[in-house]
Amino acid sequence: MVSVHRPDTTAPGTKIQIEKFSDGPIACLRFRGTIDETFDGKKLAATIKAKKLILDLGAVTKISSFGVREWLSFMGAVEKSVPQIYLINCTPKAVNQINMVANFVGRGHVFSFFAPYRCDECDRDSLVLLNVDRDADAIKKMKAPERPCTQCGNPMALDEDPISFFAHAAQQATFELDGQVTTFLISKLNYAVSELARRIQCEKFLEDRNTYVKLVGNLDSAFPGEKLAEGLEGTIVIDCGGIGGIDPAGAAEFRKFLNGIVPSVERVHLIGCQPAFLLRCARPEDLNEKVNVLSFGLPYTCQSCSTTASQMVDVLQHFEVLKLSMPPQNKCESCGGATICTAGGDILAHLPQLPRPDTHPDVLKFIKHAQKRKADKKPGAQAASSGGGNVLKLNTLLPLAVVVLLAVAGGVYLAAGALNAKGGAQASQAQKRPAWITSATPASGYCTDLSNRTVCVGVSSYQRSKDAAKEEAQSNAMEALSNTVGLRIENPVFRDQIRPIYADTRKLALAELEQNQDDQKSEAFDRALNIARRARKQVSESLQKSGGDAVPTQAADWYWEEYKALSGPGTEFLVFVRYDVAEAQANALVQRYSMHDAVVGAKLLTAFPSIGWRFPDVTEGAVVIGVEPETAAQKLGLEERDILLGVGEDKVRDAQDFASKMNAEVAAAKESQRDLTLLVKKGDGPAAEQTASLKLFE
Amino acid sequence: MRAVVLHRDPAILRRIVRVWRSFGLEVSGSVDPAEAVKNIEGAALFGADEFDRDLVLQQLAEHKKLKACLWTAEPIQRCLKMFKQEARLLSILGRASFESPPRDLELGLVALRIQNQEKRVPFSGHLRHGASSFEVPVRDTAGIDAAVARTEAFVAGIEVTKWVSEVVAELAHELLMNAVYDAPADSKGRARFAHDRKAKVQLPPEESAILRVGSDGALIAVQVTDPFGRLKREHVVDGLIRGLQSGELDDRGGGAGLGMTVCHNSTVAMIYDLIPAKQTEVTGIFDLELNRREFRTTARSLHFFERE
Repeated sequence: MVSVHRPDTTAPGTKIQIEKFSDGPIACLRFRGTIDETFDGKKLAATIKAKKLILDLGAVTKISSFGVREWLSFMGAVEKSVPQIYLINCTPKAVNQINMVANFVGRGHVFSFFAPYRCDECDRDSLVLLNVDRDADAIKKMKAPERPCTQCGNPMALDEDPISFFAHAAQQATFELDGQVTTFLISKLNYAVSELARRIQCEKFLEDRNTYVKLVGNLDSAFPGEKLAEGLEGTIVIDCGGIGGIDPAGAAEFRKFLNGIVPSVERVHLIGCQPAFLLRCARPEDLNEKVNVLSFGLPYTCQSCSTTASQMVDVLQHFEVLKLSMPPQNKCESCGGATICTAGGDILAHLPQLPRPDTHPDVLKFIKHAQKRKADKKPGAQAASSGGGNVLKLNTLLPLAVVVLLAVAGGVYLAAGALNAKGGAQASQAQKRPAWITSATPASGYCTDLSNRTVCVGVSSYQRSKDAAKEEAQSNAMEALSNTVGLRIENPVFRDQIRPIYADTRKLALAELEQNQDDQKSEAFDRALNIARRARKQVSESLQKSGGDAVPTQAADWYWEEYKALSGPGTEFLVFVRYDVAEAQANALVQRYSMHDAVVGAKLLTAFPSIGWRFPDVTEGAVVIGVEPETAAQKLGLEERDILLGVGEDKVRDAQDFASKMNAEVAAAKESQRDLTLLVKKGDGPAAEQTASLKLFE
Repeated sequence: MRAVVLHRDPAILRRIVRVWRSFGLEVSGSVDPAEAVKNIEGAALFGADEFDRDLVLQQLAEHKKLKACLWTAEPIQRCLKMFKQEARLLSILGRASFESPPRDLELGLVALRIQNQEKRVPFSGHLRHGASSFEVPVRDTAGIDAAVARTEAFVAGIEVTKWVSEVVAELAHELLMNAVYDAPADSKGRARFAHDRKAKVQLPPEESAILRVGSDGALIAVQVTDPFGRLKREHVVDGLIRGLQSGELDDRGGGAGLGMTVCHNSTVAMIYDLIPAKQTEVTGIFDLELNRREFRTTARSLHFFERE
């Protein structure tokens, strides 16, 4: 059984697929599959125009001895034009070759690699990512760093001979990762370079009434909003291009910062925003007369050279087009070819909500100057910056969530995949199913744990309407996510009290669906399908309501297939939707649903979305998990597993919300000397209003 | 046919003597080098620990019909140069530790080979009785892929960890690529396809390579036979020396020249059986009893038999 650290793998024997990203002088090639004699190393090397190259070997399943030859040709050729080469995520197979073959990495540096670990207690294998900086000490000593098993917590052992496994890494000269590459890894690949490098770094540059603030790193609860806000006045330009991962706490801190500075500044312009940032930190309610977005990145894929890159969109320049939820047209920066925008529906839907910026030309000049000035600065004179002082060009890179696979077959490069409705128009049978679809069972959903994220895929049932099928697939993916979160929660109270509420109901419903899959025309199948559809839709909605910022709002990818209808004329659609959930997000969700609150003697957990399988009438609320004796809660007759849906006139969103509303209601009731009312659902019965005498709270 | 065994540990000595006697050899064993040398005259085979290599080489020089095998718990690299130089050194048998004897199976193979030099050891002879196996001819590029997939599926079917099935599949792939690309020769003995790995090759049926894969639950054996008999001892040893010591490529052919090293690293024993100009049979043995750590560090074996 494989742990959450397992890197991406494609089925063994798959010919090599190479994804190519670029951002100015930095390019990244992600290899997937088998490197064998079909890999044309020299041809690939000729397409690389970068000065710094990152080779991601995290999904390499096999390197044959003939593949080694091609690889060496590739390295030999690419080294001539690219002075800096870094290898990341090297799988054990790649590590074996690196150790065995002279010059496998040429002049490049191995930055990170996966080491096979084994837990003898659980009898399972794991792959653990080691970094040459973070784990330098252990590697140099050729002693595997300790790692606990994610299941049982016992220490795992390296399932390799450390002396041979660490041979290359141990003798590799110590090197410092180039600042630009660090920023690229953090912000574009959401890569854990090191704990220090991930932390948000803020640089300020002031000129007259203008302040330029550059943010680089991950946006989390450590975001120093208050410190940053100190003294800010005039026009503030916030360059968000270096922001990597954004967790819910970070998004909240940033928005708090933004709202906090608005009264004291004249304007706030956000530039270089990635789609995830726009959706989480620059929502419509955050943007107004004073706060606007001047530029943001959208992913574009070149139809000639297949390079995927994020290109900056100037909001003012393209305002009329953006109003229509349409991306502006762009040319490929590598080869000048035509590109297609591969942004998801969520971000496109966000575009019309961007206000028209009102920017003085002097501010635009200031921005150019600030960015150019950053690029001219010597590294030694920098304020703390993980970017090493180098400013990224406006063409920032595509977030990991949106990718286009390049299939290499016999040396010919093809582009495949459809991410928006327009691109998908040509998809149909001509397209190859993407590798992230590992199961195509209709009306299903599943999640896969990867190295730094969880991928949840929803598969629709066959539907006549593509939109309806897509909606169903989205719900299925979300429901799968909810279930996965539920399985990860280790809180014994959740395990004993919450999971039993829905687990059997869910299991039975899905078993019924599976049993009837063979006869999709039968009434039994219809019945089972409708039950599953209803439940999944409800769970999905509930998750999005109560999960907060941790719930992905944007699908990472989707794909559809069209079939002849099972009965009657016309066609039916089968749609697959994928969501990527970063590790931090998944952890935030686990925490959200396992942290309890307490009020008036009742201990509460936020109503877990999956209970929607059993309770069609519950999408939000708080579940009682404990009642203390001789308290108002006990006197009220509250019991474990009661669900609190409302206090007075208000609906309850979650446990915290119930606690605060309850306290407020008690205070209000005391003031006006009246009784309180609660809306309570007990067991499988309907929700009912319950009156609580004020005396209980005195 | 007589064999002499020299080993300082009496328990291990007894074991080797027992196995060789069971395989029909007349064996005299000794813990003392001087006594062993006394028994050499007229012997067909001299077996000893690599520690006594100098003595063994000396005896080979003095007795022209003598053949020898050495066993070692060390990495094989130390013996390769000697193995290349002395063609009558048939085998280097890896053993798990200084306290362990060489594998019975391999001792048996040496005994069989020395006695029946014309006869081929059947594939089943590499595994215990009751092993399951399959055999498939391979004569083109697509056939290689199919055969490798079948190998991986076969191995996965006996409930092993994923890395085992991957390693064994890799071994099968290497052996088949050599048999289909490197082995075929024209009428003048020149390699036909070795310089272009990307070429789609199709051999006539009579030139097909044969892949055999089997397991008895403790071992997995992968064997590829080709009808060309072009693989020379020095190819094997040079490839290993280059790969194991320096990782340098030999790109005189179309491959990376690392195939031997890959095969070596994918097995606990490699057995090369050559009938010059007629047949090459290469068998790799994988030990399922070893975990990955043990597998990486265990001493490996190399056998090179040449028949008329």
